[in-house]
Amino acid sequence: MRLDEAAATSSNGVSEPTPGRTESVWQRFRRNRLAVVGLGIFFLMILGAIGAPLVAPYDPDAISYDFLAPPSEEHLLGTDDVGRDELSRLIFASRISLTVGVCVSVVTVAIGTLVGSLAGYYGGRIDAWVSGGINVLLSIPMIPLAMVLGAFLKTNLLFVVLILGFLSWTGTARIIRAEFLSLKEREFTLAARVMGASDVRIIVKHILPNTAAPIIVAATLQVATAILAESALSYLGFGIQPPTASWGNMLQNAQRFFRIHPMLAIYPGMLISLTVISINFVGDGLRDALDPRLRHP
Amino acid sequence: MRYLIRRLLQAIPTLWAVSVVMFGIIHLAPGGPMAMYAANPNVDQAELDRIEERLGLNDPLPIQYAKWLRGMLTGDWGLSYKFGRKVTAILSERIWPSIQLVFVSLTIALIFSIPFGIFTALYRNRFVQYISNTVAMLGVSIPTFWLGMVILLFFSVKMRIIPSGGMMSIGAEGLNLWDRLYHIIPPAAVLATLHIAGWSRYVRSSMLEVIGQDYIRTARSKGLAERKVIYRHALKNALLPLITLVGLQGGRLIGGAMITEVVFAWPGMGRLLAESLSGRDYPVLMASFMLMSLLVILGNLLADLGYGFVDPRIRLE
Repeated sequence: MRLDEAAATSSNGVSEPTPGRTESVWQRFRRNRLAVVGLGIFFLMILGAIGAPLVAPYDPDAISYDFLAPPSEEHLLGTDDVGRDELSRLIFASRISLTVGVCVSVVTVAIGTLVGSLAGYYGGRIDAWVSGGINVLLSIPMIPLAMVLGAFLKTNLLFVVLILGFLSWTGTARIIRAEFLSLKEREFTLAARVMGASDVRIIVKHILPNTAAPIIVAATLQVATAILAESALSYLGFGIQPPTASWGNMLQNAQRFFRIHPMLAIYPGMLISLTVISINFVGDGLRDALDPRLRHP
Repeated sequence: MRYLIRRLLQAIPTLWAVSVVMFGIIHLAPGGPMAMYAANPNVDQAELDRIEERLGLNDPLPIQYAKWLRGMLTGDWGLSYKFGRKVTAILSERIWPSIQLVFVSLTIALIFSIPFGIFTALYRNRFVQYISNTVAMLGVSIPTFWLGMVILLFFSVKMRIIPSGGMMSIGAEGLNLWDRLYHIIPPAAVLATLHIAGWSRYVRSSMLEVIGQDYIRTARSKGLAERKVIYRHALKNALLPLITLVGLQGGRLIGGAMITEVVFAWPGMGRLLAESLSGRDYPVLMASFMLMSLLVILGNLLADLGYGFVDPRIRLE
């Protein structure tokens, strides 16, 4: 789910009975079965990605004479057009997707929190500039812009992360800004100011901790969005470049062998979908657990 | 009316900023159209200089920008480096297929998401809830380009009931509506899935909110049939927020449709962009980005206007 939609639905939320205070976040999270399953799958994926050399039966880049082989005992999911083991490539490609997802999320949250908190706290001219900048960035379609950057700059992992990160912080910045706008008027902020706390101290020590819930939720959903964006970019040929395996560029490659070996076009997409769905379920579960007010009906 | 004019005026600085950002990115990036000519061994340095001079690429960047801006404003959008044709001609060929695709896809999304949203709001048992959650989750989680590939694989390659791409059959002459529909429905449907998921959720939550209001209870208590209560009284108000969403996302869709266009070989803006990227076709790139941004901004404006139109309580100041 997109961030702004998540924020939009929240305002329509039907009020739920407030759960007992003693109940921890984890207890509330655990009650959402889909979120727990999602978390489990996500952990398995991370384990698989970290232990890829141990899990994968072959070297993902090793070619052989078995071109486009059907699934067999030797190659569980068959081989691709230059005889590389499909299963091993899928496993190694998960490293790319998960790294991009998590790193983009970190970049996004870092920029979004910094920009959003400054704009929300100081208001006035800074806010006007930030909101204007966000509007400009939002008026440029993201995937085409990412393609231009990908085509003109380098297309290694670092650049893909930076490109997607720099293009997707606006959602987080908006959420943080809105939180700051309301939190800076609250009594505890006033109290801190009366006690002589500096702006930096108020922002970092008093207001930011209160925005943790929406930040965590936004960061989780951002991982999913970034994985989708990376796969799209790589599919179009402007992201991770072959021979490095990524689910996106594996799909691009598979398209040429549609008629001979259609399953090559199925596996990577299924993995992308599975990863993104589980992360989205975790995000939904976190939203419900961290802040019952944000629950959607 | 005054509001409309003011909003249109506000769009100008945004568009200008977009143009500066895009011009900067496109022109400052390493490499460039000259590298393409330089790679050709038959072109010597004198020839290279002449080409550079002719394309105006040897001017300082601000001057190039000023020239480009003047051309943009006076309707002279330049010649494509790659095709050697007028950018305006190329764009007008490519923008209509994209707009058609977006329009059909928005229609499909509305046709499905509104009834689906109403249904899931009215029948709130666990099963319906479960289905609606799952569908919404699948819709936002499955990559659209992969969905397109799978649909092509099953329905075109295997079962041969949909075309494998393009806008019309080879040899189809004139405006054959059925042939056109036959070609546009698959990519439009794929593009619509993303919105069906989000929008039906949206319709559902706003419907739930409206149904809880006092005037609905009044309508019911005066003995109106439930159908009438829902469709006359509740629906109109429940659909309000959707207008905003359709406007906001519809404008962005030309850019978002890109990948679907590539998958279905649809001759629209998306493919044009992909083609002009490889050739560093600066004039086409700049013009396409300006056009796409303009559509986003217009979409936002339409969302605001539509909202004020349906709900007179919201005064646009």
